[in-house]
This record gives sequence, C-alpha cells and structure tokens, in this order.
Amino acid sequence: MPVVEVSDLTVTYLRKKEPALKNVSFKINEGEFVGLLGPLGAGKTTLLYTLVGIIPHTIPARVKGTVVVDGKNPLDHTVAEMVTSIGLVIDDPTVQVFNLTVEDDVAFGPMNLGMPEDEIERNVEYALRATRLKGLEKRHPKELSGGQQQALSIAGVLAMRPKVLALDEPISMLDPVGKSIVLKAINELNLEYGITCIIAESGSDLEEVMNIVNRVVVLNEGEVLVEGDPKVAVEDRLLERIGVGLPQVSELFLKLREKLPDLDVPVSLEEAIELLREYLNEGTIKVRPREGKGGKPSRNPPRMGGSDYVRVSNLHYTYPSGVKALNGVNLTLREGELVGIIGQNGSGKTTLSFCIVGIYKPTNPDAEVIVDGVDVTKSSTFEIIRKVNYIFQNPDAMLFSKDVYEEVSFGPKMLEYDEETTKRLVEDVLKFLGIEEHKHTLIVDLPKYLRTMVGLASVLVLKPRMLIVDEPTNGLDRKESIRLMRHLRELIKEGITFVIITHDMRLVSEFCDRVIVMSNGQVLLDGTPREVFSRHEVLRRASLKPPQITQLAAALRDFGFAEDTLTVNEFLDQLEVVG
Amino acid sequence: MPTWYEYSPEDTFLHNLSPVSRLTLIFSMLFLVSFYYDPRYLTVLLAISAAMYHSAKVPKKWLLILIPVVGWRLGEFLLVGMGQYNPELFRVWPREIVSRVIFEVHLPVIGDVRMIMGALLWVLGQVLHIVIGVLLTFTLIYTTPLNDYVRLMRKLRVPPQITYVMTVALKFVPDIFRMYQSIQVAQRLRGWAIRTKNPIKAAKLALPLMIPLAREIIRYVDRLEISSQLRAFGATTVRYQVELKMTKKDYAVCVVTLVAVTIAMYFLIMHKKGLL
Repeated sequence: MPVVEVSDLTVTYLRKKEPALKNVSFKINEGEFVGLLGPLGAGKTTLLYTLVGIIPHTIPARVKGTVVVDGKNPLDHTVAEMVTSIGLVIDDPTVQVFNLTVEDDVAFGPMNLGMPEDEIERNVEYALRATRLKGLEKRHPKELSGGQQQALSIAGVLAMRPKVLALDEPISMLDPVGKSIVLKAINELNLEYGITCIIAESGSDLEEVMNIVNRVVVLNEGEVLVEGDPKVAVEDRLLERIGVGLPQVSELFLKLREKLPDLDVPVSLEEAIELLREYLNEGTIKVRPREGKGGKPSRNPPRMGGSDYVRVSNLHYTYPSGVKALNGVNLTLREGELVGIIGQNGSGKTTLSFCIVGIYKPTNPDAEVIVDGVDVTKSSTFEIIRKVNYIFQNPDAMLFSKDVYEEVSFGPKMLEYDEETTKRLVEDVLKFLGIEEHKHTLIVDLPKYLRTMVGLASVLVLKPRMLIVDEPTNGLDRKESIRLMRHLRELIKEGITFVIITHDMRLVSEFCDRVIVMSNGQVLLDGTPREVFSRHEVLRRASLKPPQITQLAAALRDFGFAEDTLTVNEFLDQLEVVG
Repeated sequence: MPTWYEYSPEDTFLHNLSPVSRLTLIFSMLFLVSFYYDPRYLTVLLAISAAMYHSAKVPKKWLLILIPVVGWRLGEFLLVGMGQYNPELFRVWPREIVSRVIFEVHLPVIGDVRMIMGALLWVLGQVLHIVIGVLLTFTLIYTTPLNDYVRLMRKLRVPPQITYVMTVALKFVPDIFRMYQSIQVAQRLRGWAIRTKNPIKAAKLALPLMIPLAREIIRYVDRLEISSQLRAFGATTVRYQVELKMTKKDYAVCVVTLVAVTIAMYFLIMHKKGLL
C-alpha cells in the first residue's frame, strides 16, 4: 500500500524560471527503503522539502501536481501537522540538535506536539533504543561523536512516530565510524521497526547507501529518469552518466559482462561476494594469482615525491581545554606528492595541518615543524603562507567579493603586489584551473563545484609550494570530485605538493601517492595506498575501511585474490573467464 | 576548534554550585555594582569578581575584549565627565575633594572645559562597572552550562517557547564565534590583516570577514528554522517538570549573598555608602 504518492509534481522556486522538479511521479509503499539518487542540483532536497511541507510553507515556491504522504497533502497541512506522517533529517547534525541533553532533545518534538507525559517517555525510550543511544540520555549532545549526533537527530524525528523517515544525505558530513553508526541505525529502523525510509544520495556515499536500499528513484535535472530495483540504476551505467558514479563492485561486474553477457550486476558488496563465489566455485571464472604480495601496481613505480619539504618531529598539541590533539607526531612530507591524510574525526588531522601552516604553535618546546628549511614555530603566518597554505572545506567561509576576478585578486592585493603582477597571477591561476570563462561571473551565481575551484584559486594565486586541502570533495558529486582530483594531479606537475584530508577512501586509493592514517593524535600508518589499504587489521582498529574493491578482494582472499588490490582494473587483471 | 565565550566543564567551586546559587551570587553582585559609583567600593567588588574569575579558571585571554570596549567607552565617559563640572552634583564625598580641578582646557566655540575630581571619580566608577560586569559575565558563561539556564527557566515556569528561543540564542553565540574564527583564519591564510589606522580603511578591510560571516549566519538561521519546524516547534503549549538539586553549600552561598546584599543596600540607602 503506497504511503507516499507523488504525481505530476512540478516545483518552481520564486524568482526562478526553470522548475527545480518537472512532472515528477512515483509511489513508495509501506516498509520500503528507497534511495533517492541524483547528482547535485538534481532536485532531491526540493522533493524531500515538498514531501514534508517545508516547500511551500517555509520556502515559497509554485507547486503543481499532487503529493500525498500518509493520506495527507503537505500543501494543505502545516509542517507541524506533517511531522507525525513524515520526518526529515538533514545532513548537518549540529543544526538539528537544539537541547542540552540527549533525552531533552529527543523529547523536544513530542513535547511540541503536546503529547501526554507518559507517551513522551515511551516515545523517547523507543527512539533512543531504535537509534542505539540508550545509556546516553544524560549526555550533552556535544559529548557525542558525529555519528551519534546524527543518530540523535534521527531519534528526535523518530520520537514523533512518523510513518516515513526521509534523510537528506545524512552521512555526508560524518567520518567512517559515524557513517556506519547511522546506516546501521537506519537499516534497523527499516527492517525491525518497519519504518518506510527515503535516503537522498549524490555519490560520495553511494556504495554504503546501495547496500541498504531496496528500491531507487533516480533524479536528474528535476526529472525522474528511472525507478525500481537498485540494479536499474547501474544498468547501462546510468548513475555514472549523470555524475553520481557507480559502486566499485557494479563497475567490476559491468566490465566483466563484456566477456560474460548474462552476468547479473550487483549493487552491494555482500551480493558481489556471493556472486563471485558462485562463479568461482562453478568454474565460470578463475583467479590468475599475481606474483608477490604487491603484484602489479596501478601506478608503477609509486610516486613518492622528491626532496623533503616539511619535517615534523615530536609534535604535541594540547588545546587550552586540556584535550590532547597531537601526541608526538613525526612526519616528513616530500615535494611533488599527493598525500591523503585519513582518520576519524578528532584523530588530529586538522590540528596537525594547523601546526604545519603555523596557525597553532606546538605546546611542547622541543617540537620541530620545519617547512622548506624555515622553522614555522618561529615565523609569522605571512612568511609561511607562500610556502605552505591550507584551504578550509567550506569555500563559503572565505568568498566575499562580487565576482571571481575580484575574489582571486584579494590575496595578491593583500600582499601588496602591483596591479600588473596581480592581474598576471590571477589570469594564470584561472586559466590553469580552467575557470577563466567565469572571470567576471558573480560569486553568488556560482554552483558548488565552481565555488570550490574559486576557493582553491584564491589560495593558489599566492603560489604556495604546498597546499593542504580539507575535504576538497565535500558536497560534490562523484563526477565533480573526480574532476577536482584530476586538477590537483595536474597541479602537481606544476611543482605544487598537495595534502588532502578526506574520508573518501576510494578517491585516496585512486589519486593519492601516499596515505597517512592518523589515530589518537599519532601517525598510525604511512605508506602508499597499496601498503596502507592492505593493512586490514590496523585499519579496522582505527575504524577505517579500505575501498570497496579492496574489501571484495580481501573477502575472497581464499580464492587467491591479492588483498592489496586497489582498483577495479587490478581486480579484473586477476580474473580469467573460462566459459 | 575550541572557541571563546563558551562554558567549559571544570572542577571548581563555582562550577560545582547549583545554577540557583551561582546565578544568585553573580546576579546579586551585578545588582550591587549597578548602584555603586564610589571607586573604593567598586574596587572591593572588583577584587571579589577577579578572585571568582581566577578561581573558576576562566581563560585570561577572554579579557582582551576589555581593551577595545574600555578604550571606546573611556572617551565617551571623559566627555560626559567634563560636562559634570558642578561640584554640587557630588553630595557624599567632601566638597573640597570633589571640587578640585584636575585639568582645564580651552576649546574654540565651547569655551573653557574642566575635569574636577568628582567627575574623574565618576569616570573611574564607570570604567570599573564595565570591568566588573565583564568579569562576572564571563565567569557566569564559563561556569554555567546551557542546561542550567534552561532548567532554571523551566523551574520558574517560563513558557517553553521563550526557553527554546533562549536555548537557541545561547547555542548560537558560540557557534557564531566558531564560524568567525574559521573565517578569520581562512582570510589570514590569504594574506588578510588590518594594517591601517585609518578607521574607514579598517572598516573596508573588515569586509572579508563580515560578508562570509553574514552569509553563514543567514544560512545557519535558515537551517535552524527548518530544523525547528521539523520538530513541530510552536505546534502546541507544553509544560515541563524539572527538579533542581541544592546542597548545603548552595544554601550557604545563597544565604551569605543575600545577607551581604541586604547589608550593602541598607548602607547604600540609609548612609549613601557607595555613592559619590
């Protein structure tokens, strides 16, 4: 029985000519877990906001068509009236948690609905249990991890007992452990509590989402391209074509299908393991073991950079609150490398970066942070920023000018370069990043990808020889993430060294020369992606997961697959189709 | 990134008090300060406030804000002080002291202006008001978690809508500081710095901070509004039941504070102690 029915829905924001949603129609039955997939700007958030009534009651828009959720039309009901039918969780947990203890926050919704006290208690209990937050009732939300905070946001919505739970990219801002906590909780809500779930995803967490959904609705440019079994979204590489990307296991089977046309294409890791086991056992395919543990590397030989550029030794940093963020970090970064720093939130990645660029000074006197021969601890920020610089993950934290040219020229102007030099530097960097045609575009008109590029340009224009970029692909879909990473690789050829802080293991394995794993303020692992991602046990201890294809190879190691397989092509190289 | 002007859990006497006794103590002192003008009495309150600030382990660097605030207000106080050249305005202190001229200048159009001792004491009192107010406010912020305010308001049966607005406002301030810190670091890394003494140029140089901050605040508020609606905020009237635990130490603090304030007010009203 459908719990959500949308027919011919067209939504046009005020002062916009083009509709954000065009004649969208689909149904969701009770108990289903639906993935709403599409690239950035596809209309996913608009659709979810319309289902809960935020559009048009809070965000004005022209809405045509019919929407029925749990028998109610959100156009005729206030958001407060809709919340018992459909609850919405947004990506950022920090904005959704208002109260000062876990139980107060979960009780906030039921209290607002005027539920009697015993019912509030029952609902709080149910929501805490369902999201595995039992035992944390008295905690301040700030004391929870990112994943637990998002689970708390879900609990807050769940306590109002909605029939449908809608989640707008709920794991995009979380670290790997956070993602796993939230996904586990959502999956249980669907399987054990029978709650209908809708989860929007634009690509960075596609593999995790495809693991749990049982139906998909694929949106692009405001239109539904396809809906049905998750497999329909990977057939013909549909998701890849619209920029969302494909799970690595689907990509593997699509490539394998060129030799075995009847092959079923899995969308989840478990399914892929099962299918491959079946084919291997019946002898349809065989494993061609690689020589040696390392085998044939994807980039041969691994690029490990030139001379030492940054040397960090015995670096400790303790925040004024007493929290120890770094516990004796020793590290060398070399010229010409693309280094990925991975680790849980709070493992010390950002603090280390801030110490390297001189924003934080080490809290132990014997620490050494040397960049290009200069002692950062004794230098001013202005001396350092042309040697090593840092870009925050949110480009909007720095953009303030009217247009792109003005924005990028701000740095050189601040460093008092003459007009001609400024113009040359700005034009060079815009050209190099391929955004020169946007030179006079207003910043407010730029999409997220271009704002990220302008943020990059506005620091690159200062010609730092090393750049640390925090979550460069955050908020981008897969296609744009790849585009950005390719740009970074190109920039390395120009003599710039890049360090990226990220939770995207797939991008690290595909683009980085070296991976540094941080845990509890220390460097846990340091090596090539192959070396690091083959250390499954150590990664597990740091609560990290290697890329999906590496996990697949590890799961099938008994058949002879190399555990350090990094890419789909490397996996394919180990397969031999027999018949 | 740790932020300024935010509660921090510590094991200090003030942190361990119940919100009722902590607020009683701090608000009573603020209440007294608002009546006192005599720098001698204010100095005593300053010493007590500074001791509380120190014992609560409030970061010293928070006090840096006093430099621009006192600097700005001092000019204003001096101007107003110079307008109070009539010694009759000061009835408590001996006339021969308050009427003593500290300095005198001749200004075109206005003519002669002078600063007398009474006015100077008033200026000093005003500055002390600010310093004590800041010390006590920061002590309160640093020692009181948001939960305590909310519990207290609930205990006082403040409508939940007001409690919510207060909670969000209190959550908002540190969040905004955090945003501001990130923006400032991001711009510093692009070479931003205020290297001018010209106030117009300095204001222009503040734009790289203010524009992103304004944008981030608008976005934050929008998301907050959506989030609160998604939690049915404002749908009905709600009642809370809250219990606040008081220990003997809390009762002692409350009693001592109230007795001290009563005595101080008695001397203030009956004997003009604390006035100029």
